[in-house]
Amino acid sequence: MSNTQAMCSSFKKELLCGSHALGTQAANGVRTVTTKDVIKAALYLSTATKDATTTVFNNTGEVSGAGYNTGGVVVTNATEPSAPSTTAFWTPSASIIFTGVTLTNDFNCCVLYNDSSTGKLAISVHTFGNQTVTAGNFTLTMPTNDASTGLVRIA
Amino acid sequence: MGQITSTKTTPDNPTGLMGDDVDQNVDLVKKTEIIEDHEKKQTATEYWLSGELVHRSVHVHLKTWPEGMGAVIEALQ
Repeated sequence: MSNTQAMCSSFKKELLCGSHALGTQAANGVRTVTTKDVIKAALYLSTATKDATTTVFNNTGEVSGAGYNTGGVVVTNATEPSAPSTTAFWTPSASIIFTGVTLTNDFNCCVLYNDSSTGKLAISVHTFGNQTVTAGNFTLTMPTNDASTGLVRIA
Repeated sequence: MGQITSTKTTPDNPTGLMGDDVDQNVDLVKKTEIIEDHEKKQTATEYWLSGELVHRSVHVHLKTWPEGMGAVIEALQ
């Protein structure tokens, strides 16, 4: 059992179906999106099995400990998706921070998901080295939001 | 490649102890571990008080996703 970094396959399909609003858009003749969806980030134990087949958020294998609330934290999303050239991209606009937590069991995975959707649809799985936190913060700093390193890119 | 540094320090009260709880003679040791590759940089900072871990924070900087991991949705050309 392990976690594998990936964009969730279901997310790719759901993008084509209009299930996610990472940003807003003006009237386009079909629908107008004035409210962005709330994106959240949850942490998972090293023994969990999150990967491209993950379709929704659930708390199986999620970390637990003082200061951590199931479901994780809200992702700051102040920057609209952009496509200045051939590649479109989107990245959370601030670091994801779990403040004042104690997580004693090894974790190595963060799952982004759409908290506004009924089923808590999964977006992506991110892995890193095994970590624990003791009465401290866990911070995930985002890559540069551009066509080369943005967190979600459509080429 | 990992990089580990260990220093004895007097930080701004990372343990949260105050007043009479603070023993100025105890050893407070700060340890920092940095692991970096082209995809991410992980920095762990620990404070050890008399041999006991009292604080550990971790900072992971996602630089990019590796090729082939699904970060890029390839359009048909």
